[in-house]
Amino acid sequence: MSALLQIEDLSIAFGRGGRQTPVVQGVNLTLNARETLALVGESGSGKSITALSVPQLLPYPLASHPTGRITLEGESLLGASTATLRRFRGGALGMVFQEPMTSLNPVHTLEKQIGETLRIHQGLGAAAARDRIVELLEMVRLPEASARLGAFPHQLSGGQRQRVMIAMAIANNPRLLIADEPTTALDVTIQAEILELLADLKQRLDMAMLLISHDLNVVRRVADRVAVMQQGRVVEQGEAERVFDQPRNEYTRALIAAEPSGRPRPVANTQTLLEARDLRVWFPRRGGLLKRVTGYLKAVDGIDLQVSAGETLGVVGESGSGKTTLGMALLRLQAATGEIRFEGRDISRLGKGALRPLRRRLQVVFQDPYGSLSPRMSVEQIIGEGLAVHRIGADAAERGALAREALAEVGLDPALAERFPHELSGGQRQRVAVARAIVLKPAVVVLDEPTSALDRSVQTQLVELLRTLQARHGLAYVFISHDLKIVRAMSHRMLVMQDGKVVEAGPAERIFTDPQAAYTQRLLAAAL
Amino acid sequence: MKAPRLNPINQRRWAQFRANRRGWWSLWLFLVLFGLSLGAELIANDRPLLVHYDGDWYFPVLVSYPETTFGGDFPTETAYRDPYVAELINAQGWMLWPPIPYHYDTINYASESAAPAPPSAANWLGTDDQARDVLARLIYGFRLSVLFGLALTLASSVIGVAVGAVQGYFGGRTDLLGQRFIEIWAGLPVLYLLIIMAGFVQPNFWWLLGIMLLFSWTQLVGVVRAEFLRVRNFDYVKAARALGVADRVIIVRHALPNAMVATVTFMPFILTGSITTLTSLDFLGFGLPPGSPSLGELLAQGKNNLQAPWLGLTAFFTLAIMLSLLVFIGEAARDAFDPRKTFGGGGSA
Repeated sequence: MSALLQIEDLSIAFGRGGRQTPVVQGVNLTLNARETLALVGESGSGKSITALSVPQLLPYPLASHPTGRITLEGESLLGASTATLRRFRGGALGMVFQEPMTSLNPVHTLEKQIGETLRIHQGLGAAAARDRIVELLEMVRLPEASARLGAFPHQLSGGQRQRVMIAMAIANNPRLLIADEPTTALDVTIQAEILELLADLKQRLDMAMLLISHDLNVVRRVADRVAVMQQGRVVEQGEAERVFDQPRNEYTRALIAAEPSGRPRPVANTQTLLEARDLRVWFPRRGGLLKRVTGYLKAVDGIDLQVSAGETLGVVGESGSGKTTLGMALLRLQAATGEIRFEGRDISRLGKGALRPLRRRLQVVFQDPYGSLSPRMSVEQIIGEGLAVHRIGADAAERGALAREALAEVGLDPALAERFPHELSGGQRQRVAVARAIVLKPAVVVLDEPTSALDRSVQTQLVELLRTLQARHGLAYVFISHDLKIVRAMSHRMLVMQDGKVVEAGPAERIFTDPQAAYTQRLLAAAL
Repeated sequence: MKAPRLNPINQRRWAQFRANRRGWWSLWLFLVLFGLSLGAELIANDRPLLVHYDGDWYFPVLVSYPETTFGGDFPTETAYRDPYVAELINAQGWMLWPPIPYHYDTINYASESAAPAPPSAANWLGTDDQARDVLARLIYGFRLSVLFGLALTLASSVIGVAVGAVQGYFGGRTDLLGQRFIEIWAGLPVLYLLIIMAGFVQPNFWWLLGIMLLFSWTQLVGVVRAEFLRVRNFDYVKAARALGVADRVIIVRHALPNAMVATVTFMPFILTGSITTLTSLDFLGFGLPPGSPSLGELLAQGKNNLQAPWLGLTAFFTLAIMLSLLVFIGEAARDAFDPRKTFGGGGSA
């Protein structure tokens, strides 16, 4: 069997002139026809740019290839003319990107969007193109395909948009489909559907697939062969089954083992710290000439919850279920109706000033460690800001010492205090965000997807850290996440949310082993 | 405390600014010219820099001495250019004159040809229609224009950033009312209002600054407001709110640095705009009081005295060079803050 795609000794460097940083070095990959090769690795391992160098979509001339050859169907792609590349891109070479929100043009209809590639590569007329588009949309199982030709991307859900992206990628019967994290931005139940669709299309269209993913569950499900990348090099390559069952490389073993494990430590204390009753966040929808309220988007719709000291309440749900809004409402960062009792006091109607002293005891850690730290402040200033607000510590020196103490407590070198956020890795940043919260000695911490922007191995460490801190300080957590494995490792009790309502609540272990609601069952089946 | 050091982003911006050679040289040239004009009294003055008389030292630029000091008749300020007084001083000492021995309002009675006199050894760029030295007026006029421009730019930036920050950060009704007010305010015909107001008061430097400030503060509101609308939803701003940090502090410490990029990029262009407005008011005769050294007034003289082309040409070249330098500096500043240039091409995958 001859190779469809051959990458030999590929290296990629970024930078101009004298300052070139090698990012990928000496990568050899072979992909046969009708085969799925998965490139896996943590963020920064170079898997995406390796894949993007096949259609030559890197930001040249900032990127360059000191060595290497890439051949697709016997034709060399590295340094090929623009005309040759254009023939390949969208032709024999289809691409699906990660972010379905931004990879479709928001001002074009589906018909125009998919029709463009048909016109360019096959020269189809309007009527012929329309038939083909309907056929393609049916192939990717978009419901009511023919009625949706005039639809705009914003009228579709994330999963539907990804289907349209796939339809565009397969429109010209590609020999090779490059899928760059095709399911990462999607909810778990939709992830499963898209993966199944990709596998099915691969069979029907005789394509080969180059799949880039950090999610080993995804890879395990669809890949024939796996190449593991670390710091710009392929460290292990082989049949998927072999790599997963008998990994030879140490890094591969660590990657596979990096699953959040263990269970939360049991708690005896039952003093309720935070309690919400009939919490609602309704966003008015306005319409008509006078912008009258015509209805409400019920982001959080009548939720009751309580959290005790030393306990974690997991809040799970898919995107749009209202779990983040719930967290913001509990923190009084989002206007809401209903009752919120914190340490026995109703805080739902307190003003800004009255709320300020309570803020110390009610803290938050956000999802994106790149966005939640002010880029112009040093780590010490970031952690010390809350101390200054609440007048903890007599002077700057004492606050600095407290900040360093907090850094040590979250497992960071106190010497990092003088660094700026951009000098830290994602995991380090998230630890700084945790330090900023715990330095105030809070009672309750709302953790809003604190792990989802991190690599698996870093996630595991963070979960361990959060559990340790909880045991040491008797913290109560409201742990918001879509990642059921991590919720299971963290939570004592949990809420399953759908469309702003709680569909199931109870002890976490009970829900995981014996889910009652149909929605919970579906969620668990897709995720585990 | 550590010495303030530029963080890597600002280092890159500085390098980017320097990479724009035209802007870099313009900045230096402008700074040198502006620096020289700040010392205008030492370059062009109708008093000597130093007088040695009867064994004593005198500094007429800094201190005013009555004529009787030097053996004259009047107890008034010494007229050093008076040939009689000069003779008295030179008899028992000497005088060190600045390179241009005229103040901007000095009338050269010694001029041999009728005013406006063409360039000569005594008046390097000639005299204007009131026999005042053009070069001296130019130096003082340049300084006045730039200082006026800087003052107006600074004041309108401070007000504009403050209003934009409040509108963008609080949003909602505050923002709505602010926007409607600015739309109405921006709809007023500025030049007519200035002309009408110039009819009520005799405008001086500060009056003009105040009147023009009334209308120029709106320029920055839009960009700053847009930046704040974006920033207020950032996680680190939310985190600061969760820490209980006061709104005022969040605006200044967390949100304002983001808006500074847009502000700094805009500033050189506001500066050129301010200078141009002042010049055009002076040209029309509604600007600074008569007799002030002003580039606009020089332009008007050039228009009225077409037989004396040195007036119009001088004013034209001065304005053209000054505004070009500022635009070049502005372009370099815009490059420096352009993220696409600072971070070189598109982002990595």
